[in-house]
Amino acid sequence: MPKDWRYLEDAGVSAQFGLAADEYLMHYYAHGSELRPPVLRLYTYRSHCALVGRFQNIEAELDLEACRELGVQFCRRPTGGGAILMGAEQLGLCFVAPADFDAQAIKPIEVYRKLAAPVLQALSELGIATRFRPRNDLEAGGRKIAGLGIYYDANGAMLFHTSLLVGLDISMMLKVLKVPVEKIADKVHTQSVADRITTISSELNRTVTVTEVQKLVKEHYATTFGARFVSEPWTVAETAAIEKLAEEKYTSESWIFQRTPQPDMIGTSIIKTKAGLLRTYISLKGQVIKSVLVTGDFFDHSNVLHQLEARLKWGAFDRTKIQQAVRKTMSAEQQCQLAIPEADLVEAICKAGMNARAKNRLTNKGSCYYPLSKTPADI
Amino acid sequence: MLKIREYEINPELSYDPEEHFWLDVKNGRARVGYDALVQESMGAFVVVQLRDDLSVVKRGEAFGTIEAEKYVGPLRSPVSGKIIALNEQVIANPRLANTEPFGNGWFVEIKLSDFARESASLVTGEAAVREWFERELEKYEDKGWLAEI
Repeated sequence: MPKDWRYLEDAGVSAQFGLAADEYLMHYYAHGSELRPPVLRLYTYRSHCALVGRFQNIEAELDLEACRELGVQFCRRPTGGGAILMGAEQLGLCFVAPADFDAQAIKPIEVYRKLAAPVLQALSELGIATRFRPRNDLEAGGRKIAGLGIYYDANGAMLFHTSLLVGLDISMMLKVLKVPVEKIADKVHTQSVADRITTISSELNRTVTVTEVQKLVKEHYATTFGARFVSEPWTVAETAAIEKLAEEKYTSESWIFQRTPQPDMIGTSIIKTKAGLLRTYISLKGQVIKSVLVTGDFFDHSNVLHQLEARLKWGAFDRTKIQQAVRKTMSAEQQCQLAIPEADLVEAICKAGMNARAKNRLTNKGSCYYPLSKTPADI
Repeated sequence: MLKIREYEINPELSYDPEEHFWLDVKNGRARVGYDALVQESMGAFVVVQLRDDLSVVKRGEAFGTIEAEKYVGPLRSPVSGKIIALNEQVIANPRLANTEPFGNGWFVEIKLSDFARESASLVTGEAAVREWFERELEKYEDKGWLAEI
């Protein structure tokens, strides 16, 4: 007998409502509550909403002036990771359940494997070969097509979220999100982002609707988990509760503009290699790499670099870890004969990070948060 | 320090087998941090946010929130009591929880209020710690919790 799971759909919701609705669902799974089956919610935000990760400094991630001018709503997610742009062409997937809903999936790594599997199957049915990419992405042909996140609340509930790119307005994204390649000419800038991100529509060379993807994702979730989805729209009482949460939390400045002690730092490096000039752009949060981009005008194997960039993301800014990531990426992509020596890549990334730290040291002198005992040479 | 394969573990501490916290219990107080195994399964710590007040916490309640490479989630207290100290160093530099799990990477100190009862659920003593940790390590490896997705 199939299990009955609740299914919800929303379209064009505001940033505040969308986030509050996800969080609201979690309250059903607090310790001691009546046991309930999981809920799947598939939805879109209004075009456009810029959402930063749980602990990002919003001013460092978004051009808030541009957001206001362009009518882009902005807010903070409960899940971690980087800033994203959501709208009518990006499918949001929210799966809420007790944290121990599956005895096998009690660690985040297992949750990712299990809960992203139906999304991979849906994409496969559409004709797009995708795979997990460490840390938290799905990729098609070496380019990111979806971002994943997990949030456990203190009461025993779990939220798994996916933002799936059915389409994407890259130029809008670049106007709103700050990415650490601002010094490159606009045209190259757009191209460097386009090289790293793809969408379902561009993979299939046709305009795919969110509804089409939504249907497939739902079907594959049902098949994978042996569930029968019962469509239960928000009740009046639920809508009121979500609106209250949206008003009290997701529109409050203390939530949206909260700051973390870890400084955000951006740095670049340019080094000469036997293959040509290697430009590296890095964004750090404290001692962790938020993002890194390695560019040059000579690459034949840029996918390998994209793998490396993804592997470094949210990892430690630490020379040994960077060396391991470079080595691991090169050995995983054995078909590639990258012309850049491993040592040069490591040096380029470390140098960009050290420059970011040095710049931050100059601009944040005296900050009680900055670990002054650490020098750039410490990595 | 005991070395079990590539992991170091301090046999003189007590361990919370659920959340993999270590507890250094002295004079009715416990300093609390993550052990090396769980921090490897979570990846690099990006942010550690601890309660900003020195308040009372019950066993299982969150004394803070953490963002690691793979997720955002609560730090659930392994014991009940009053939080008497927060580690400002780990707040400023969350990587300490990865690089110095048994040293400067601790999170909070708690004045214990129900330890006589709650200590029964902790693992204490070198032989018990070794046996538990070896079993856990095997489980983590079998389930692929230490690998990348």
